[in-house]
Amino acid sequence: MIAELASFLMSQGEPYGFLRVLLYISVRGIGAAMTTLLIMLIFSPIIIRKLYRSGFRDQQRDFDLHLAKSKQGTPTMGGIIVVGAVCICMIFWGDLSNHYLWLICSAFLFFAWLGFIDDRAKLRGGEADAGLSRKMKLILQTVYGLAFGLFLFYPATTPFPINISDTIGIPFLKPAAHGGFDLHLSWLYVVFVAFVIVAVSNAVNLIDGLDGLAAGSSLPPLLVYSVLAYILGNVKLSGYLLYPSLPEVHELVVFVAALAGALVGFLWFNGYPAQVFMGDTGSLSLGGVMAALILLTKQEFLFIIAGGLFLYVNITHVIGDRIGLNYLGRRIFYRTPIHHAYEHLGFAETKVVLRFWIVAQVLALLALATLKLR
Amino acid sequence: MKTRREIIRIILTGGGSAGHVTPLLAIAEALSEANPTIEYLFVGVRQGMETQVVPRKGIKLRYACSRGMPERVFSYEMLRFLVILFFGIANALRILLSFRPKIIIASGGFSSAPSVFAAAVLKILSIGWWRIPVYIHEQNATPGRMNRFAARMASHIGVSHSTALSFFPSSKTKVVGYPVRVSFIKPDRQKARTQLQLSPEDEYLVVFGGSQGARTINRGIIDALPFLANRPRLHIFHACGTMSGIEYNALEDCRARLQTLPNQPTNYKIVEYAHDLPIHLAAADLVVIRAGAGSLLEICAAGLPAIVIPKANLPGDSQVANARELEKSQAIELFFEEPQWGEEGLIEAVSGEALAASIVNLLDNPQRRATLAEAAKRNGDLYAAQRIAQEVLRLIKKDISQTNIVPLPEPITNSSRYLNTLPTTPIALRRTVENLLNVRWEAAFDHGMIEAEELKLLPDLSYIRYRGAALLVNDNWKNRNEGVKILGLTRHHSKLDLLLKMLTDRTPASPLQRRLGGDFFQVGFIRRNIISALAFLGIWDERVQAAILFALKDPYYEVRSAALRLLRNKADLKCRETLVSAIRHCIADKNLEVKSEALHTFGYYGSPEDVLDAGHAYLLDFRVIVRIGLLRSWQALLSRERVMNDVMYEKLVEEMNSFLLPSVSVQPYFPLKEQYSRIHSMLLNREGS
Repeated sequence: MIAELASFLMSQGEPYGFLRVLLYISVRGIGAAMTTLLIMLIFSPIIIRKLYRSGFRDQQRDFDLHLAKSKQGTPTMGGIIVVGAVCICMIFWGDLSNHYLWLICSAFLFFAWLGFIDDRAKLRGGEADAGLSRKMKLILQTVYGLAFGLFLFYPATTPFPINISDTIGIPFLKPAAHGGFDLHLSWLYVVFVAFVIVAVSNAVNLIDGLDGLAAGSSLPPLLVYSVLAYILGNVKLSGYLLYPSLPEVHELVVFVAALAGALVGFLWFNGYPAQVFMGDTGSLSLGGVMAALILLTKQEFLFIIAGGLFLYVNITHVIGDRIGLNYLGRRIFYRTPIHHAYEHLGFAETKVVLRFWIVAQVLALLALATLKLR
Repeated sequence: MKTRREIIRIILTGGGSAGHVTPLLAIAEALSEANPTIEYLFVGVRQGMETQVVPRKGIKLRYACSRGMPERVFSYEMLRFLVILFFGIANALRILLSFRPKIIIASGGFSSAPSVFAAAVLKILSIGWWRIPVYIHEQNATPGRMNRFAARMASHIGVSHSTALSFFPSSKTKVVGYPVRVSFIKPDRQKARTQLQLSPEDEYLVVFGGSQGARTINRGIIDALPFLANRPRLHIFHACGTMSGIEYNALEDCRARLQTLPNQPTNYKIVEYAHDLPIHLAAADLVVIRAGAGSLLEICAAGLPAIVIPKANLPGDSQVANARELEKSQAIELFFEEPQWGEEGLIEAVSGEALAASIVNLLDNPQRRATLAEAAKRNGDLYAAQRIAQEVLRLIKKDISQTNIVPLPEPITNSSRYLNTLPTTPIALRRTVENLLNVRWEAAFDHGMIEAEELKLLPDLSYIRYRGAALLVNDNWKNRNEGVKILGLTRHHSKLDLLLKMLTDRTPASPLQRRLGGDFFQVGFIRRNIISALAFLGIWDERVQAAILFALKDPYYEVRSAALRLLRNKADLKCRETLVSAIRHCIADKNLEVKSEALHTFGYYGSPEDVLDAGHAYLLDFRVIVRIGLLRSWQALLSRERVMNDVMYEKLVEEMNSFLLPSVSVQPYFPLKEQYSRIHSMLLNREGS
């Protein structure tokens, strides 16, 4: 909205020329971040109170005697506030004519809705295992993934430049536009997109187990991808760094900045001891955004480094849970998800969270370091 | 001579096992009694019992291929099943169109599927303007899948138990009982005994475990033979069943077992399947059977004293439920199979000696046998077949003037009470027990031994214990796990040896499992839970100590850790020196959880010098969990009275001063929560006082 307002006013004449500033991506990004931060800080207390009174409280799985008792009763579904803040902000700061923005918003909202249903069902059921069955969740995510993939694939709807609409980003490889090689997938791209969406959207869900862990660990990867979006959207920069140019993708910077601001605002209340949890609403929506982000910037494989922490948690969980607990009948790790294992070894919760944040930040820097390696 | 039109033609379908075939034959008998001109055709599968049984009765047999429905929906077997069913329905359609029956009587099971579905197809297509009504008879209290699905296509459904009523639409379902063949109902004992060349003083024992046989009964009776050898008048007839699979071949296994006996038995006859079973039963003084719906009711109808050995671990535990129902009315003698350690590991078995004792007991006690027989007869329903015949004839709108229109007595509705109170799935059963006792399994060590008063809270304790023991033989480790938990929660002392054997059993897991990190067949969780169960059992004798010693060297860390935790529960007992040194040895374990637990436990068992000495190496250890263990060992030391002296106290203080402790502040301080919690406990105290 601001963008339209600014360009309208500027067309009126000279006195409004300074408003050109508002059209810059960096300014809009930071503005968006500040806005969401302010919204979170101002409105969260009221909403947390409301959530608490309406009975949206955390239901704990009760196998571990020591951990479970202390957190019961904390209001959950704080993800709604994040989603709300980001949406309001996007209406205000976003360029609504941009296709990328709509695509990522759709992912954001779809997964938020998915998480919302799951949360609500868990509350009604009264225990941690109620809610959508795993199979149902997977089916819905796959369906969405396929739809998303089709959208990105067909020339009519894809926001990408058509000649590279079905390529994927191989790390360290120069794209064809700069004298290298492009990997075209044609219809396999749709399957690839669906796979990425299902895999990554569940990534954040698992890491949401300790106070401040999910929000704090998602910030660095998000920021890495926003930097990438900035580079890819800028023709000069992308040419200099030998990346394929995706015009218009810079709008994602504004979105991610808004999301980052909202997450920081959320952390204000979520840090130890937490006053609110993000619930499945928040974690699934974050995961969805990350999946969409890595697909829209076409740097899917960079997530192995930037989102390495999520991969670590998820892979250890799959091994420890599916192979260990269910098939072999023994534990492979002390506990899964792996952050609980560190707690079991005696580390304080706050220490585990902090160390995970550090790892996330280090991995993000590593990912950025690979920018120049082509 | 009646034209083709006037002769009533009826199709009987059902099979696979004899349990589906014999009721149909019984119904056919009753129908023929009412209307001798009925022509029958039996439709079954080639691999079923019907091939052997039906032709002997003089009924024509035709085949329509069919197979049991597989469990998994998306699988190759499902595809094969659907294809076979398709061809089966085609076969059945051909049979229906050529034979043109007035009605189809189905007894359930996959064998009856083609005909029933073919009739439905005809109905949908409205071919030939005539509908063939389908009459379904369900023999069990919990109906099978086929009947449940086919109910919507049936014109009328007859059930044996009133509990099955809830599964079918009430408008067309009635309780009719279980039809039994006439030869069972009015046995001519004299004639039968003469035919078998038995003299009046001879004792005739008939043993059979269903048409396919029962391994437990077969092996049990053969094992019992030596103990019955001193009865010269005893004749035994053993029908071992036709099962001839890879795992178990009834006849071969029995023959092999017979070879191993010290003396070959006299007056003992073994066959695969007894076609003239009614004669043997008529002549019998005592029978040993399984608790299948059919066998039980046939015994009741015939009024025979029986030793019943129900098959454990069936879905819904149906056989046990049926059997207990009858035992309540003193109609049978119940004998449970138990998990025992055999050549193939843990299997369900019956002790030959115990079985022999039971048999001898009954043979020597004609009074008791008479009581059992009377009660059985009272429980038997002799008119079920006629009831069904009346219903069938009504359906095809025939005059029943030839039969006695005397109203048949109402069927005995023995609603199985046991089926509905306790859940049957292992996990649900365990959770129910936990809820009733108000104990959680994870709190086993904290809770300690289950007291007698607590056990009184459980209804039907013997059944729950039996169920727990039976689960130990299950293939799925998760069910065995639940069985262990149930045995622990119900403090089933007599299974202690079995549990200890499972704990120390080193049978390896499958190769794939081993490659992925698994170790033994009794998986890590099971072994760990056995130790927790020991906490609930509260026994601490030589064999338990030996097992714990063994467990301290188990490859899986949680087992070692649990063993150490268990040792803390019994810290006041005098233990062997080997145990104490084993605990000390665990302190050097690589696994941190085990290390920590070992330090803690050693604090209870070792002398002060040893404890302080063992912990000395970890004073500055960087790993938090290890230091926590060390501190707990000191706390344990201090809690033992009369163990410390001044010198030791000084040494302890010295150690504490060297301990790595970054800051003195003990906990994070939450004023809000602390204040709330304080008020909470003040209110609780006030309520208490």
